[in-house]
Amino acid sequence: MNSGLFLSEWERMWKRKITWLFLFAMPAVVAATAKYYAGHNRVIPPASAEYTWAGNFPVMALIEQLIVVFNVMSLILLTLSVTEEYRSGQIRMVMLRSFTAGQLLRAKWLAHTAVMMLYFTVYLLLSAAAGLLFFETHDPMQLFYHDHPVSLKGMIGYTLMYYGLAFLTVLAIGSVFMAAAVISRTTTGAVGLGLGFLLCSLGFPLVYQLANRVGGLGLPAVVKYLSLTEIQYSGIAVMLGQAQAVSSGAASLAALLVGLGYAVIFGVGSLLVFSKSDRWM
Amino acid sequence: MFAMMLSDWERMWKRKKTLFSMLIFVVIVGLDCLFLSMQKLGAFDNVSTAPLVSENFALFLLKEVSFFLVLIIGPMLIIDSMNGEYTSGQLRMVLIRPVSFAQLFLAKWMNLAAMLLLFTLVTFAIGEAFGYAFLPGADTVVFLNPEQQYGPAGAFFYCFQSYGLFYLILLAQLSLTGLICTLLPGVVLSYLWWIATAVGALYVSDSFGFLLMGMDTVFKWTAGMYHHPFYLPLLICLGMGFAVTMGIWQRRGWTK
Repeated sequence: MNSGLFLSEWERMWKRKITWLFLFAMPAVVAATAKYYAGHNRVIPPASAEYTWAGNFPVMALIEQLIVVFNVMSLILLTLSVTEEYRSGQIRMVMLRSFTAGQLLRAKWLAHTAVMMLYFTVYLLLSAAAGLLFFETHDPMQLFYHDHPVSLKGMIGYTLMYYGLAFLTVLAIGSVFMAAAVISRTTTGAVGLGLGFLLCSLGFPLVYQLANRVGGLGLPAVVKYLSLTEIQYSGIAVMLGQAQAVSSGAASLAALLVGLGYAVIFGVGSLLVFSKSDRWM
Repeated sequence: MFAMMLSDWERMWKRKKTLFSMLIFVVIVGLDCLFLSMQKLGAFDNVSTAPLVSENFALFLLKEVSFFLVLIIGPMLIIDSMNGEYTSGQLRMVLIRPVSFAQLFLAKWMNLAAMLLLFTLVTFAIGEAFGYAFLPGADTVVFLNPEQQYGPAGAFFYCFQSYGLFYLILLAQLSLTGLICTLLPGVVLSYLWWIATAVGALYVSDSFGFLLMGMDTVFKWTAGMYHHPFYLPLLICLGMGFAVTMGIWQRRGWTK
Protein backbone atom coordinates (compact mmCIF):
# COMPACT_ATOMS: atom_id res chain seq x y z
CA MET A 1 0.00 0.00 0.00
CA ASN A 2 1.34 3.29 -0.99
CA SER A 3 1.01 5.91 1.73
CA GLY A 4 1.22 8.79 -0.75
CA LEU A 5 -1.85 7.50 -2.54
CA PHE A 6 -3.71 7.10 0.72
CA LEU A 7 -2.81 10.65 1.73
CA SER A 8 -4.07 12.02 -1.56
CA GLU A 9 -7.36 10.16 -1.13
CA TRP A 10 -7.61 11.35 2.47
CA GLU A 11 -7.10 14.94 1.36
CA ARG A 12 -9.67 14.54 -1.40
CA MET A 13 -12.14 13.28 1.20
CA TRP A 14 -11.71 16.45 3.22
CA LYS A 15 -11.75 18.67 0.19
CA ARG A 16 -15.45 17.88 -0.14
CA LYS A 17 -17.71 20.09 1.88
CA ILE A 18 -20.04 17.21 2.64
CA THR A 19 -17.39 15.43 4.71
CA TRP A 20 -17.11 18.53 6.88
CA LEU A 21 -20.88 18.90 6.91
CA PHE A 22 -21.24 15.42 8.43
CA LEU A 23 -18.64 16.27 11.04
CA PHE A 24 -20.28 19.56 11.98
CA ALA A 25 -23.73 17.95 12.03
CA MET A 26 -22.63 15.51 14.75
CA PRO A 27 -23.36 17.82 17.71
CA ALA A 28 -26.83 18.46 16.30
CA VAL A 29 -27.46 14.72 15.87
CA VAL A 30 -26.30 14.02 19.42
CA ALA A 31 -28.44 16.87 20.76
CA ALA A 32 -31.54 15.64 18.89
CA THR A 33 -30.93 12.11 20.20
CA ALA A 34 -30.53 13.39 23.76
CA LYS A 35 -33.79 15.32 23.42
CA TYR A 36 -35.53 12.20 22.16
CA TYR A 37 -34.27 10.02 25.04
CA ALA A 38 -35.08 12.66 27.64
CA GLY A 39 -38.68 12.53 26.44
CA HIS A 40 -38.58 8.73 26.27
CA ASN A 41 -37.37 8.55 29.90
CA ARG A 42 -40.61 10.11 31.07
CA VAL A 43 -42.74 7.21 29.84
CA ILE A 44 -40.68 4.19 30.97
CA PRO A 45 -39.73 2.94 34.46
CA PRO A 46 -36.14 3.64 35.60
CA ALA A 47 -35.52 -0.08 36.14
CA SER A 48 -35.94 -0.79 32.41
CA ALA A 49 -32.93 -1.38 30.17
CA GLU A 50 -34.35 1.30 27.88
CA TYR A 51 -34.04 3.98 30.54
CA THR A 52 -31.20 6.32 29.65
CA TRP A 53 -28.56 7.36 32.17
CA ALA A 54 -25.34 9.27 31.71
CA GLY A 55 -23.51 5.95 31.65
CA ASN A 56 -25.41 4.22 28.88
CA PHE A 57 -26.24 7.27 26.77
CA PRO A 58 -23.31 6.76 24.35
CA VAL A 59 -24.56 3.25 23.55
CA MET A 60 -28.21 4.30 23.40
CA ALA A 61 -27.33 7.22 21.14
CA LEU A 62 -25.49 4.88 18.78
CA ILE A 63 -28.38 2.39 18.72
CA GLU A 64 -30.72 5.19 17.65
CA GLN A 65 -28.56 6.59 14.86
CA LEU A 66 -26.41 3.67 13.65
CA ILE A 67 -28.74 2.23 11.02
CA VAL A 68 -29.74 5.45 9.33
CA VAL A 69 -27.09 8.08 9.99
CA PHE A 70 -23.86 6.07 9.95
CA ASN A 71 -24.84 3.79 7.06
CA VAL A 72 -25.98 6.72 4.94
CA MET A 73 -22.78 8.65 5.70
CA SER A 74 -20.75 5.67 4.52
CA LEU A 75 -22.89 5.38 1.38
CA ILE A 76 -22.49 9.06 0.51
CA LEU A 77 -18.73 9.10 1.13
CA LEU A 78 -18.15 6.06 -1.07
CA THR A 79 -20.46 7.28 -3.82
CA LEU A 80 -18.70 10.64 -3.94
CA SER A 81 -15.30 9.01 -3.82
CA VAL A 82 -15.90 6.55 -6.67
CA THR A 83 -18.97 7.28 -8.82
CA GLU A 84 -18.91 11.06 -8.59
CA GLU A 85 -15.19 11.20 -9.41
CA TYR A 86 -15.85 8.96 -12.40
CA ARG A 87 -18.75 11.13 -13.55
CA SER A 88 -16.80 14.35 -13.25
CA GLY A 89 -13.67 12.86 -14.76
CA GLN A 90 -11.62 13.71 -11.68
CA ILE A 91 -10.58 10.09 -11.24
CA ARG A 92 -8.47 10.35 -14.41
CA MET A 93 -6.08 12.74 -12.71
CA VAL A 94 -5.06 10.05 -10.22
CA MET A 95 -4.99 7.33 -12.84
CA LEU A 96 -2.43 9.31 -14.84
CA ARG A 97 0.04 8.40 -12.12
CA SER A 98 1.71 5.02 -12.04
CA PHE A 99 -0.68 3.29 -9.68
CA THR A 100 -2.77 0.26 -10.49
CA ALA A 101 -6.55 0.49 -10.31
CA GLY A 102 -6.50 -1.99 -7.43
CA GLN A 103 -4.17 0.22 -5.41
CA LEU A 104 -6.39 3.20 -6.07
CA LEU A 105 -9.56 1.44 -4.94
CA ARG A 106 -7.85 0.15 -1.80
CA ALA A 107 -6.63 3.66 -1.00
CA LYS A 108 -10.16 4.98 -1.44
CA TRP A 109 -11.48 2.25 0.84
CA LEU A 110 -8.85 3.00 3.49
CA ALA A 111 -9.58 6.73 3.36
CA HIS A 112 -13.29 5.99 3.80
CA THR A 113 -12.46 3.68 6.72
CA ALA A 114 -10.33 6.36 8.34
CA VAL A 115 -13.02 9.01 7.97
CA MET A 116 -15.69 6.68 9.38
CA MET A 117 -13.41 5.83 12.30
CA LEU A 118 -12.99 9.53 12.98
CA TYR A 119 -16.78 10.01 12.88
CA PHE A 120 -17.30 7.16 15.33
CA THR A 121 -14.68 8.60 17.69
CA VAL A 122 -16.15 12.09 17.55
CA TYR A 123 -19.64 10.70 18.06
CA LEU A 124 -18.48 8.68 21.07
CA LEU A 125 -16.79 11.68 22.69
CA LEU A 126 -19.72 14.01 22.00
CA SER A 127 -22.30 11.57 23.28
CA ALA A 128 -20.24 10.83 26.40
CA ALA A 129 -20.15 14.57 27.10
CA ALA A 130 -23.85 14.99 26.30
CA GLY A 131 -24.66 12.05 28.58
CA LEU A 132 -22.92 13.68 31.53
CA LEU A 133 -24.52 16.99 30.69
CA PHE A 134 -28.15 15.99 30.16
CA PHE A 135 -28.69 12.76 32.12
CA GLU A 136 -28.35 11.64 35.73
CA THR A 137 -25.65 9.27 36.84
CA HIS A 138 -26.74 5.92 38.16
CA ASP A 139 -24.64 2.98 39.29
CA PRO A 140 -25.13 0.14 38.44
CA MET A 141 -27.45 0.17 35.44
CA GLN A 142 -29.51 -2.36 33.54
CA LEU A 143 -28.51 -3.25 29.99
CA PHE A 144 -30.19 -5.15 27.15
CA TYR A 145 -29.75 -8.94 27.34
CA HIS A 146 -28.07 -8.78 30.75
CA ASP A 147 -29.30 -10.79 33.75
CA HIS A 148 -27.43 -8.56 36.19
CA PRO A 149 -26.93 -4.79 36.24
CA VAL A 150 -23.52 -3.53 35.11
CA SER A 151 -21.33 -1.11 37.07
CA LEU A 152 -20.07 2.17 35.63
CA LYS A 153 -16.57 0.71 35.25
CA GLY A 154 -17.95 -2.20 33.26
CA MET A 155 -19.78 0.29 31.06
CA ILE A 156 -16.51 1.68 29.68
CA GLY A 157 -15.50 -1.67 28.23
CA TYR A 158 -19.06 -2.37 27.05
CA THR A 159 -19.30 0.99 25.29
CA LEU A 160 -15.95 0.57 23.56
CA MET A 161 -16.84 -2.96 22.46
CA TYR A 162 -20.22 -1.76 21.20
CA TYR A 163 -18.67 1.05 19.17
CA GLY A 164 -15.99 -1.27 17.82
CA LEU A 165 -18.50 -3.87 16.65
CA ALA A 166 -20.78 -1.19 15.22
CA PHE A 167 -17.82 0.18 13.28
CA LEU A 168 -17.12 -3.28 11.84
CA THR A 169 -20.75 -3.70 10.74
CA VAL A 170 -20.60 -0.33 8.98
CA LEU A 171 -17.47 -1.51 7.17
CA ALA A 172 -19.26 -4.70 6.09
CA ILE A 173 -22.20 -2.69 4.76
CA GLY A 174 -19.70 -0.25 3.28
CA SER A 175 -18.27 -3.04 1.13
CA VAL A 176 -21.74 -3.46 -0.42
CA PHE A 177 -21.97 0.30 -0.98
CA MET A 178 -18.52 0.19 -2.57
CA ALA A 179 -19.73 -2.46 -5.01
CA ALA A 180 -22.81 -0.33 -5.75
CA ALA A 181 -20.59 2.72 -6.35
CA VAL A 182 -18.25 0.77 -8.65
CA ILE A 183 -20.93 -0.75 -10.87
CA SER A 184 -23.16 2.35 -11.08
CA ARG A 185 -22.62 4.80 -13.88
CA THR A 186 -24.52 7.64 -12.22
CA THR A 187 -24.47 8.90 -8.66
CA THR A 188 -28.24 8.68 -8.25
CA GLY A 189 -27.97 5.08 -9.34
CA ALA A 190 -25.31 4.35 -6.71
CA VAL A 191 -27.27 6.03 -3.92
CA GLY A 192 -30.49 4.35 -5.02
CA LEU A 193 -28.86 0.91 -5.10
CA GLY A 194 -27.33 1.47 -1.68
CA LEU A 195 -30.57 2.66 -0.12
CA GLY A 196 -32.41 -0.21 -1.79
CA PHE A 197 -29.98 -2.65 -0.21
CA LEU A 198 -30.57 -0.99 3.18
CA LEU A 199 -34.37 -1.23 2.80
CA CYS A 200 -34.18 -4.87 1.72
CA SER A 201 -31.87 -5.66 4.66
CA LEU A 202 -34.36 -4.02 7.00
CA GLY A 203 -37.22 -5.99 5.45
CA PHE A 204 -35.55 -9.40 5.37
CA PRO A 205 -35.86 -10.30 9.10
CA LEU A 206 -39.58 -9.45 9.01
CA VAL A 207 -40.18 -11.60 5.94
CA TYR A 208 -38.02 -14.41 7.30
CA GLN A 209 -39.71 -14.53 10.67
CA LEU A 210 -43.13 -14.39 9.06
CA ALA A 211 -42.33 -17.15 6.57
CA ASN A 212 -40.95 -19.22 9.42
CA ARG A 213 -44.07 -18.78 11.50
CA VAL A 214 -46.70 -19.13 8.79
CA GLY A 215 -44.94 -21.87 6.88
CA GLY A 216 -44.03 -23.72 10.09
CA LEU A 217 -40.53 -24.25 8.73
CA GLY A 218 -38.91 -24.30 12.15
CA LEU A 219 -35.67 -22.78 10.89
CA PRO A 220 -33.33 -21.35 13.53
CA ALA A 221 -33.90 -17.71 14.51
CA VAL A 222 -30.23 -16.92 14.02
CA VAL A 223 -30.72 -16.93 10.22
CA LYS A 224 -32.23 -13.45 10.51
CA TYR A 225 -28.68 -12.21 11.06
CA LEU A 226 -28.07 -12.73 7.35
CA SER A 227 -29.25 -9.13 7.25
CA LEU A 228 -26.50 -6.72 8.28
CA THR A 229 -28.96 -4.14 9.56
CA GLU A 230 -30.47 -6.78 11.84
CA ILE A 231 -26.97 -7.36 13.24
CA GLN A 232 -26.81 -3.62 13.84
CA TYR A 233 -30.32 -3.47 15.27
CA SER A 234 -30.19 -6.31 17.78
CA GLY A 235 -27.17 -8.48 16.95
CA ILE A 236 -24.50 -6.34 18.62
CA ALA A 237 -26.43 -6.19 21.88
CA VAL A 238 -26.99 -9.97 21.77
CA MET A 239 -23.31 -10.59 21.04
CA LEU A 240 -22.31 -8.53 24.07
CA GLY A 241 -25.15 -9.92 26.18
CA GLN A 242 -24.63 -11.85 29.38
CA ALA A 243 -27.87 -13.66 29.99
CA GLN A 244 -28.98 -17.27 30.28
CA ALA A 245 -31.75 -16.81 27.76
CA VAL A 246 -29.65 -15.61 24.82
CA SER A 247 -26.91 -17.55 23.09
CA SER A 248 -24.29 -14.84 22.57
CA GLY A 249 -21.72 -17.29 21.24
CA ALA A 250 -23.91 -18.50 18.38
CA ALA A 251 -24.93 -14.96 17.52
CA SER A 252 -21.31 -13.78 17.51
CA LEU A 253 -20.26 -16.62 15.24
CA ALA A 254 -23.16 -15.99 12.87
CA ALA A 255 -22.52 -12.24 12.79
CA LEU A 256 -18.81 -12.77 12.20
CA LEU A 257 -19.40 -15.20 9.32
CA VAL A 258 -22.09 -13.02 7.75
CA GLY A 259 -20.03 -9.83 8.06
CA LEU A 260 -16.95 -11.53 6.64
CA GLY A 261 -19.05 -13.06 3.87
CA TYR A 262 -20.41 -9.70 2.75
CA ALA A 263 -17.00 -8.07 3.04
CA VAL A 264 -15.25 -10.77 1.00
CA ILE A 265 -17.92 -11.14 -1.71
CA PHE A 266 -18.59 -7.46 -2.26
CA GLY A 267 -15.13 -6.17 -1.38
CA VAL A 268 -13.26 -8.57 -3.65
CA GLY A 269 -16.03 -8.26 -6.23
CA SER A 270 -15.72 -4.50 -6.45
CA LEU A 271 -11.92 -4.76 -6.57
CA LEU A 272 -12.17 -7.16 -9.51
CA VAL A 273 -14.78 -5.12 -11.36
CA PHE A 274 -12.88 -1.90 -10.74
CA SER A 275 -9.59 -3.24 -12.03
CA LYS A 276 -11.09 -5.04 -15.02
CA SER A 277 -13.29 -2.22 -16.36
CA ASP A 278 -11.68 0.24 -18.69
CA ARG A 279 -14.28 2.97 -18.51
CA TRP A 280 -12.50 5.01 -15.84
CA MET A 281 -10.10 6.85 -18.15
CA MET B 1 -45.24 23.02 -25.05
CA PHE B 2 -46.28 19.53 -26.06
CA ALA B 3 -43.11 19.08 -28.11
CA MET B 4 -41.03 20.09 -25.10
CA MET B 5 -42.84 17.62 -22.87
CA LEU B 6 -42.31 14.93 -25.47
CA SER B 7 -38.59 15.63 -25.74
CA ASP B 8 -38.22 15.61 -21.96
CA TRP B 9 -40.25 12.43 -21.73
CA GLU B 10 -37.99 10.77 -24.28
CA ARG B 11 -34.89 11.91 -22.42
CA MET B 12 -36.34 10.47 -19.24
CA TRP B 13 -36.79 7.06 -20.81
CA LYS B 14 -33.39 7.21 -22.43
CA ARG B 15 -31.88 6.96 -18.99
CA LYS B 16 -31.75 3.22 -18.41
CA LYS B 17 -32.57 3.85 -14.77
CA THR B 18 -36.17 4.69 -15.58
CA LEU B 19 -36.98 1.40 -17.25
CA PHE B 20 -34.83 -0.46 -14.75
CA SER B 21 -36.65 1.17 -11.81
CA MET B 22 -39.96 0.26 -13.39
CA LEU B 23 -38.97 -3.39 -13.78
CA ILE B 24 -37.49 -3.62 -10.29
CA PHE B 25 -40.55 -1.90 -8.92
CA VAL B 26 -42.90 -4.42 -10.53
CA VAL B 27 -40.79 -7.24 -9.07
CA ILE B 28 -40.92 -5.63 -5.63
CA VAL B 29 -44.68 -5.16 -5.88
CA GLY B 30 -45.02 -8.81 -6.87
CA LEU B 31 -42.88 -10.00 -3.96
CA ASP B 32 -44.83 -7.78 -1.60
CA CYS B 33 -48.06 -9.36 -2.89
CA LEU B 34 -46.71 -12.80 -1.99
CA PHE B 35 -45.46 -11.53 1.36
CA LEU B 36 -48.80 -9.95 2.25
CA SER B 37 -50.89 -12.91 1.14
CA MET B 38 -48.74 -15.14 3.36
CA GLN B 39 -49.32 -12.82 6.27
CA LYS B 40 -53.16 -12.95 6.04
CA LEU B 41 -53.30 -9.78 8.15
CA GLY B 42 -52.82 -6.19 7.11
CA ALA B 43 -51.34 -3.83 9.69
CA PHE B 44 -52.38 -0.17 9.80
CA ASP B 45 -49.83 0.52 12.53
CA ASN B 46 -48.27 -1.37 15.43
CA VAL B 47 -51.67 -1.93 17.05
CA SER B 48 -54.52 -2.05 14.56
CA THR B 49 -54.75 -4.82 12.02
CA ALA B 50 -57.45 -6.10 9.68
CA PRO B 51 -57.83 -9.48 7.96
CA LEU B 52 -56.71 -9.25 4.35
CA VAL B 53 -59.46 -9.71 1.78
CA SER B 54 -59.81 -8.88 -1.91
CA GLU B 55 -61.37 -5.53 -1.15
CA ASN B 56 -58.66 -4.02 1.07
CA PHE B 57 -55.58 -5.73 -0.37
CA ALA B 58 -54.51 -2.87 -2.65
CA LEU B 59 -54.42 -0.45 0.28
CA PHE B 60 -52.01 -2.56 2.33
CA LEU B 61 -49.91 -3.23 -0.74
CA LEU B 62 -49.40 0.51 -1.16
CA LYS B 63 -48.23 0.77 2.41
CA GLU B 64 -45.59 -1.91 1.82
CA VAL B 65 -44.18 -0.36 -1.34
CA SER B 66 -44.62 3.31 -0.40
CA PHE B 67 -41.13 3.56 1.08
CA PHE B 68 -39.56 2.43 -2.18
CA LEU B 69 -41.44 5.18 -3.98
CA VAL B 70 -40.76 7.91 -1.43
CA LEU B 71 -37.14 7.13 -0.60
CA ILE B 72 -35.64 5.49 -3.67
CA ILE B 73 -37.49 5.57 -6.97
CA GLY B 74 -39.21 8.95 -6.61
CA PRO B 75 -36.11 10.93 -5.64
CA MET B 76 -33.98 9.11 -8.21
CA LEU B 77 -36.27 10.07 -11.08
CA ILE B 78 -36.84 13.62 -9.88
CA ILE B 79 -33.21 14.39 -9.10
CA ASP B 80 -31.93 12.96 -12.38
CA SER B 81 -34.36 15.11 -14.30
CA MET B 82 -34.19 18.33 -12.29
CA ASN B 83 -30.59 18.34 -11.09
CA GLY B 84 -28.66 15.71 -13.04
CA GLU B 85 -29.42 17.19 -16.45
CA TYR B 86 -28.46 20.65 -15.24
CA THR B 87 -25.24 19.76 -13.43
CA SER B 88 -23.99 17.47 -16.18
CA GLY B 89 -24.58 20.13 -18.79
CA GLN B 90 -27.06 18.01 -20.74
CA LEU B 91 -29.69 20.71 -20.47
CA ARG B 92 -27.62 23.08 -22.59
CA MET B 93 -28.48 20.98 -25.61
CA VAL B 94 -32.12 21.70 -24.98
CA LEU B 95 -31.52 25.37 -24.29
CA ILE B 96 -29.74 25.93 -27.60
CA ARG B 97 -33.25 26.36 -28.93
CA PRO B 98 -35.18 29.46 -27.85
CA VAL B 99 -37.43 27.82 -25.30
CA SER B 100 -39.02 29.50 -22.34
CA PHE B 101 -37.73 28.49 -18.93
CA ALA B 102 -41.19 28.57 -17.45
CA GLN B 103 -42.35 26.08 -20.06
CA LEU B 104 -39.27 23.92 -19.59
CA PHE B 105 -39.81 23.65 -15.86
CA LEU B 106 -43.52 23.08 -16.33
CA ALA B 107 -42.80 20.33 -18.85
CA LYS B 108 -40.41 18.61 -16.45
CA TRP B 109 -42.82 18.92 -13.56
CA MET B 110 -45.73 17.53 -15.52
CA ASN B 111 -43.68 14.69 -16.95
CA LEU B 112 -42.46 13.68 -13.53
CA ALA B 113 -46.00 13.92 -12.20
CA ALA B 114 -47.11 11.63 -15.01
CA MET B 115 -44.28 9.22 -14.24
CA LEU B 116 -45.16 9.09 -10.55
CA LEU B 117 -48.79 8.57 -11.53
CA LEU B 118 -47.69 5.66 -13.68
CA PHE B 119 -45.91 4.01 -10.75
CA THR B 120 -48.91 4.60 -8.46
CA LEU B 121 -51.34 3.21 -11.03
CA VAL B 122 -49.19 0.13 -11.61
CA THR B 123 -49.34 -0.57 -7.89
CA PHE B 124 -53.08 -0.02 -7.85
CA ALA B 125 -53.69 -2.28 -10.84
CA ILE B 126 -51.50 -5.10 -9.54
CA GLY B 127 -52.98 -4.76 -6.05
CA GLU B 128 -56.60 -4.92 -7.22
CA ALA B 129 -55.91 -7.73 -9.69
CA PHE B 130 -53.98 -9.84 -7.18
CA GLY B 131 -56.52 -9.14 -4.46
CA TYR B 132 -59.51 -10.27 -6.48
CA ALA B 133 -57.67 -13.20 -8.05
CA PHE B 134 -56.06 -14.80 -5.02
CA LEU B 135 -57.70 -13.57 -1.83
CA PRO B 136 -61.05 -14.47 -0.29
CA GLY B 137 -63.79 -11.89 -0.76
CA ALA B 138 -65.88 -10.40 2.03
CA ASP B 139 -69.31 -8.79 2.10
CA THR B 140 -68.24 -5.90 4.30
CA VAL B 141 -64.83 -4.50 5.09
CA VAL B 142 -63.68 -2.20 7.86
CA PHE B 143 -60.61 -0.02 7.65
CA LEU B 144 -58.81 1.81 10.44
CA ASN B 145 -62.08 3.10 11.90
CA PRO B 146 -63.88 -0.07 13.05
CA GLU B 147 -67.29 1.60 13.11
CA GLN B 148 -67.46 2.36 9.40
CA GLN B 149 -68.28 -0.63 7.24
CA TYR B 150 -67.92 -0.67 3.48
CA GLY B 151 -69.40 -2.89 0.79
CA PRO B 152 -67.27 -4.03 -2.18
CA ALA B 153 -67.93 -0.86 -4.19
CA GLY B 154 -67.40 1.39 -1.17
CA ALA B 155 -64.14 -0.38 -0.36
CA PHE B 156 -62.95 0.04 -3.95
CA PHE B 157 -63.55 3.76 -3.78
CA TYR B 158 -61.95 3.92 -0.35
CA CYS B 159 -58.79 2.35 -1.78
CA PHE B 160 -58.98 4.59 -4.82
CA GLN B 161 -59.28 7.67 -2.62
CA SER B 162 -56.31 6.54 -0.52
CA TYR B 163 -54.22 6.09 -3.65
CA GLY B 164 -55.27 9.57 -4.76
CA LEU B 165 -54.21 11.10 -1.45
CA PHE B 166 -50.91 9.25 -1.57
CA TYR B 167 -50.38 10.58 -5.08
CA LEU B 168 -50.98 14.12 -3.77
CA ILE B 169 -48.25 13.48 -1.21
CA LEU B 170 -45.95 12.33 -4.01
CA LEU B 171 -46.72 15.58 -5.86
CA ALA B 172 -45.80 17.59 -2.76
CA GLN B 173 -42.59 15.58 -2.65
CA LEU B 174 -42.00 16.36 -6.33
CA SER B 175 -42.31 20.11 -5.73
CA LEU B 176 -40.10 20.05 -2.65
CA THR B 177 -37.44 17.87 -4.25
CA GLY B 178 -37.55 20.13 -7.30
CA LEU B 179 -36.74 23.07 -5.06
CA ILE B 180 -33.94 21.17 -3.32
CA CYS B 181 -32.52 20.16 -6.71
CA THR B 182 -32.53 23.75 -7.82
CA LEU B 183 -30.79 25.09 -4.73
CA LEU B 184 -28.06 22.47 -4.41
CA PRO B 185 -25.13 21.99 -6.76
CA GLY B 186 -24.98 18.22 -6.97
CA VAL B 187 -26.98 15.05 -7.35
CA VAL B 188 -25.75 13.36 -4.19
CA LEU B 189 -26.26 16.47 -2.09
CA SER B 190 -29.83 16.79 -3.38
CA TYR B 191 -30.55 13.17 -2.54
CA LEU B 192 -29.13 13.52 0.95
CA TRP B 193 -30.98 16.76 1.48
CA TRP B 194 -34.31 15.27 0.43
CA ILE B 195 -33.92 12.47 2.96
CA ALA B 196 -32.86 14.95 5.64
CA THR B 197 -35.92 17.07 4.80
CA ALA B 198 -38.33 14.14 4.99
CA VAL B 199 -36.87 12.93 8.30
CA GLY B 200 -36.30 16.41 9.71
CA ALA B 201 -39.89 17.43 8.96
CA LEU B 202 -40.99 14.90 11.59
CA TYR B 203 -39.03 16.84 14.20
CA VAL B 204 -40.34 20.21 13.02
CA SER B 205 -44.05 19.54 13.23
CA ASP B 206 -46.33 16.50 13.11
CA SER B 207 -48.28 18.26 10.37
CA PHE B 208 -45.36 17.64 8.01
CA GLY B 209 -45.05 13.98 8.98
CA PHE B 210 -46.80 13.00 5.76
CA LEU B 211 -43.57 13.53 3.81
CA LEU B 212 -41.99 10.44 5.31
CA MET B 213 -44.94 8.57 6.82
CA GLY B 214 -47.29 9.12 3.89
CA MET B 215 -49.38 5.98 4.22
CA ASP B 216 -49.70 6.38 7.97
CA THR B 217 -51.22 9.80 7.36
CA VAL B 218 -53.50 8.51 4.62
CA PHE B 219 -54.77 5.66 6.80
CA LYS B 220 -55.67 8.04 9.59
CA TRP B 221 -57.07 10.78 7.40
CA THR B 222 -59.42 8.51 5.45
CA ALA B 223 -60.67 7.04 8.72
CA GLY B 224 -61.28 10.52 10.13
CA MET B 225 -58.67 9.98 12.83
CA TYR B 226 -56.02 12.43 11.70
CA HIS B 227 -55.76 15.29 14.16
CA HIS B 228 -53.54 17.65 12.21
CA PRO B 229 -54.32 19.80 9.20
CA PHE B 230 -53.68 17.72 6.09
CA TYR B 231 -54.48 19.68 2.94
CA LEU B 232 -52.99 22.98 4.13
CA PRO B 233 -49.38 21.81 4.79
CA LEU B 234 -49.57 19.57 1.74
CA LEU B 235 -50.68 22.37 -0.53
CA ILE B 236 -48.09 24.68 1.00
CA CYS B 237 -45.33 22.21 0.12
CA LEU B 238 -46.80 21.63 -3.33
CA GLY B 239 -47.55 25.24 -4.21
CA MET B 240 -44.63 27.00 -2.56
CA GLY B 241 -42.13 24.45 -3.84
CA PHE B 242 -43.49 24.85 -7.34
CA ALA B 243 -43.67 28.65 -7.30
CA VAL B 244 -40.26 29.25 -5.72
CA THR B 245 -38.55 26.77 -8.03
CA MET B 246 -40.19 28.35 -11.04
CA GLY B 247 -38.98 31.78 -9.88
CA ILE B 248 -35.40 30.58 -9.44
CA TRP B 249 -35.32 28.80 -12.78
CA GLN B 250 -36.30 31.97 -14.57
CA ARG B 251 -33.54 33.96 -12.93
CA ARG B 252 -30.74 31.50 -13.58
CA GLY B 253 -27.88 32.04 -15.98
CA TRP B 254 -28.49 28.76 -17.72
CA THR B 255 -26.24 28.67 -20.66
CA LYS B 256 -23.02 29.55 -18.85
